[in-house]
Amino acid sequence: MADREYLRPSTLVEAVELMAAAPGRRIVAGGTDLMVYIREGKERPSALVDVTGIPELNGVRKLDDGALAVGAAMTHSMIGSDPVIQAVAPLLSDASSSVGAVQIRNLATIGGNVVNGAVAADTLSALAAFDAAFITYGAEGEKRYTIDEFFLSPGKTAVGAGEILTKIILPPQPKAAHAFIKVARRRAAAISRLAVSVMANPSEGYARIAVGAVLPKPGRITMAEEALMNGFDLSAAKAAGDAAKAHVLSISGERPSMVYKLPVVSSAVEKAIIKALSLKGVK
Amino acid sequence: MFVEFTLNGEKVSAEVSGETTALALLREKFDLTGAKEGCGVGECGACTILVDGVAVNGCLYLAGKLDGRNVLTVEGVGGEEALDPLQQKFMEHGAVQCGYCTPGMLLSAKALLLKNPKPTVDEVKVAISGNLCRCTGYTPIVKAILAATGEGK
Amino acid sequence: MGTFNKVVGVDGVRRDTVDKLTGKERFSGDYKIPGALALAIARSSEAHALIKNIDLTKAKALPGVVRVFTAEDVPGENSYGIIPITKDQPMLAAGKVRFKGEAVALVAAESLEVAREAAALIEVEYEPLKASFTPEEALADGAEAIHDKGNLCFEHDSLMGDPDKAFAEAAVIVEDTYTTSAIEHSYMEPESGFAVMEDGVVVVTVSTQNPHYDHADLCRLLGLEEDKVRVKQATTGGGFGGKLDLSVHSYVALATLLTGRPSRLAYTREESFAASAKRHSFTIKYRTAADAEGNLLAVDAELVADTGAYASYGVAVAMRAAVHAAGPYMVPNSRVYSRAVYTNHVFSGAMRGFGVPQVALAHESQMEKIAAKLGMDPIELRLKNALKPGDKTITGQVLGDSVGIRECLEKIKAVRDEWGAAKGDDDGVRGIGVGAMLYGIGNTGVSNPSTAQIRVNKEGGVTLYTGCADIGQGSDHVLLGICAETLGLAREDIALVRADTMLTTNAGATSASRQTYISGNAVKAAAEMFIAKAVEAAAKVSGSAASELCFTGTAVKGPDGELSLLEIAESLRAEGRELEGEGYFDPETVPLDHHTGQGKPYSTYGFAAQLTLVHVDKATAEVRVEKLFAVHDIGKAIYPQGVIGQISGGSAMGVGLALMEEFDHTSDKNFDTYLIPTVLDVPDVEASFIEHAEPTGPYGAKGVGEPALIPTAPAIVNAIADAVGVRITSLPANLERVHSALQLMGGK
Repeated sequence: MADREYLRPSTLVEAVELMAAAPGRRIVAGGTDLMVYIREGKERPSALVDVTGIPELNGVRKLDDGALAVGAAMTHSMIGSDPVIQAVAPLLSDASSSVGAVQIRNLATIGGNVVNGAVAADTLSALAAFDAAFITYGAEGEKRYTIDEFFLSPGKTAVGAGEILTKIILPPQPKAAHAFIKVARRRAAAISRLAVSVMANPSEGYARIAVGAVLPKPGRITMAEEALMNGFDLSAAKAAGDAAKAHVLSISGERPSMVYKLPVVSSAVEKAIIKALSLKGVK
Repeated sequence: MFVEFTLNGEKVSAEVSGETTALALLREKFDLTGAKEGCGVGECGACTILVDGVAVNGCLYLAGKLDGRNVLTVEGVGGEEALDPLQQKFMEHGAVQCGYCTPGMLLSAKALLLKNPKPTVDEVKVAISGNLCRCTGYTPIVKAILAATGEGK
Repeated sequence: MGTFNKVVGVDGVRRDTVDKLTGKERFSGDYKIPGALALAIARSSEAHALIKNIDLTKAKALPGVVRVFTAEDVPGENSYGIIPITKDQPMLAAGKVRFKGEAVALVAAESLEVAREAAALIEVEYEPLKASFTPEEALADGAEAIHDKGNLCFEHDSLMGDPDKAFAEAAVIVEDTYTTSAIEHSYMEPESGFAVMEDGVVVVTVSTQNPHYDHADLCRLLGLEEDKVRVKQATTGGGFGGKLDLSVHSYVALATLLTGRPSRLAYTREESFAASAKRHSFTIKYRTAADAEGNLLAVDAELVADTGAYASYGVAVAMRAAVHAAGPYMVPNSRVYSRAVYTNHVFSGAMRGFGVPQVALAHESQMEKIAAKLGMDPIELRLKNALKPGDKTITGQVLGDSVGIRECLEKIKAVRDEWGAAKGDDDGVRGIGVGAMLYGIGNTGVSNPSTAQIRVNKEGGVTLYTGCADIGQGSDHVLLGICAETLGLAREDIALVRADTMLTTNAGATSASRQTYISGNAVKAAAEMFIAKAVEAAAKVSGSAASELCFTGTAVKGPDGELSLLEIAESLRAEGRELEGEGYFDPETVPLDHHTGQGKPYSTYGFAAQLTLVHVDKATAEVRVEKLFAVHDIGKAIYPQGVIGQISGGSAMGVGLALMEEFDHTSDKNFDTYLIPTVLDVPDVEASFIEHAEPTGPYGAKGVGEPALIPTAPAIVNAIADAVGVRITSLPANLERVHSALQLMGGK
């Protein structure tokens, strides 16, 4: 076995240089996915470049425009318990708190969740609801991607080799009620079958709806949002659920796994809205 | 790379390669075999250790990350002569059967109580939800942890 | 001996607990073995194929490789298996592979990395054969024979009374087909062990449930005499039936025998999933007849089990499932036809319950359907038909005194009344369900004795020798409890030598919920003989009449003072005898008739009933078991905390069986996709027991290990049916199945 190097750059510039210095190097943060890939023989990096010590990747900062910059190396536990995120983006706190189980949340980072681009990654629907943007740093300096630009297809993102995701930007939103629902085969440490993120504020006419694990790439479902904005009541919730289902159907089609997922997209979106807005008395 | 860290209260050091896991390092170099490999992919929690008071899966945790940190394994929780209250309550409540999950289970509970000495039942359950146990059905373990907080009995 | 219980029924502290809590306990993988060879196994990529060639050139050329073994290197008979009539499994495939993951070659190397790399370099040329992945495919015309004898591994018939007539006269007939999935045992410790040569003996230290069986089959595989192989049970991290078959044993033994060097092997979890036994998936066609008052008249059941590529415990599972097909009820007429069928799946073997959890799904669902048809309360219906002492089971066995099913059901009924009606909420619906069962203690209709010895040790105390493997459930504590109680000592006073084939005699497998009852009796008999012998010897030495003497645990007291055990031992030794008590117990059984299945398969049965409250989310079909109450008739609790622990753990396993566990042979490699319940998936189990003392049991004890699991899944499925109004007949009741049930309900 080759003794693979483990490198710990302390600046972004150093990290980019280290990545460029030899082929086959791999960025690692929490390592919760990468170590599994290495065990399974799917990845054989020549060296590991641990970016978690780089200041730019850590911490949460409120930007001048009110947006929130979340460091990519923040673990899900940090995000789940960070007072600023809890106050400004509780939806993301909830989503991060649903990842894996405690030990994984203590290690896995939001950046890793995003960069691996897995369709069922738990935070993606929340980030979609925020229209999050992504900041990277590479040989050509800093780049900013919209969510649509960032995610290309299942497991694929726009981040190039040697490019490092540094921050996730959550643009400012009106104060809103929210709900995050994760459906899985068990209640901890399970991959989502479906995730739903909802933010809404009837008095501002504001609605954000996104779903995870059923679409090839994350994004808001504007048809569902429009349906909800039409009244913010029980029937609007139902219509939003149906619209979400229609959207998923139009993109993902009728596959065997959809026999369960499609109808549940509709009922779970409806449920999330009811939960977020405390609409009583389900039919 | 060369790492120096505190292990169960003692300063230690080791030379580690890029992919060495904390679990392998602890078991092979330091002969601390309390942490077990149950799955190797971070799903079962048998390898749980505390790094700076936080529970992590030793099988996924890169040994290189240990540099400068404080590590607690089950061997550092409490010995036969001075059992930790958690160990004591695990014993009293029959929370140990085959014992393979026990070290990890104890450390997840320990991490919780370090941060939150008076957890609710739900907090206890969330704290150990990354630790699989096939023997006990968890009920005696939850009772033991609650008892160690002075709640329940 | 007095009748007061000083030890039996008192928990105490198990002697392994502190070491397990402090990390000191050594499982086999925790030992340092200087100079040990690391082993790795090359496994079949094909499910069913002839091996045309195995090219070891590259593997052997790799620096660090010490030796590579194939079937040709196996010195003895390359076939093993627990059941004497079906020893059909090779340790290394010989000419043919029958499941994907089967061991083809073994590499011994200086490091694990090298061993694994070399295993990957072994090139096997296969000629694929048509594979069968269901019993139906395997039994179809034109199916490729997996074994020379064909694909029917075993069949069992059972007939009692005149079922056809009973069905013709019945007021109510219900029928359905039930299916269950393959299940992975998921003990937390994967298979592991090591071997060393000691004075010409291969000494294998291994995680196991059955050291004496291991020993016998290792001798067979290695072609060695009994005294050339020694098996020592290492601390074992769970088993649940999955560590009854040989696993790493034969590989470490072979490598050490043929190289003379120590060797070790621990399966990765992936390897454990690929190559260890699974629970049999079953298809059960079931018809039940009852009269208008709800009295059961007849059962007609056809059971088909997928036993995979090798027999393992297939015979025992198919037979036990048949014997238990009617559940804990009096059914005067019955016909049961049960088969275990070879397929090209990894072999199925023993798993907690041996087919009974599968048939319990069927009989308990049928009871609900009858109750619904007759408009009866489902617990009342069960009570009406529950077995009583003196009743006949479907094998014609007349039950003895310890039959606690009625009391279990009465308790369940009271708890149900306490819970009140199940009410839904904004998110979903709730339901309450019942499951009941009986379970025969010990092996089915065959001799399955246990033995034990008690001897004076050098310190003048006593040592208990038992071959019984404690796999974490606490049998050591139970047997020490029985020994201590009988000798009038505390558990702490007794030294224990356990599960080592050189030092202990056969106690049989830690399976079939048999160790408390059978080994417990053997230990008790050994203790009684020990006392008798000590008193007899003391009488001789002191000249007192035996009736004047009293055994105190550490000495024999008489009118003229006392003699210590050491003194007594010495006097016996002068006569060439030992101060030793030997115990033997074999439960009284009558083999089942080959044509009618009639006989006395077990000498006693455990009984249980469980009650669950479930919540079904209407939007997502997620099921949450909110409450679980369990009551088990265990005869007598020797170690009550252990009984509760078994029930709690078994129930959690039952939650997995009911809701999430389904081993996918093609895609499940590890715990990331094969999900077992976490603490958040199981309710706080309210476990309780009743003690209908079994006259033939040690202090009245029966067994609880497997009964713990059996009623849970039926209770959950019945609760879902109560909540949703639609019955799920295939396990697990996963998101998809519950969702379609909800949709059917929505359609009403």
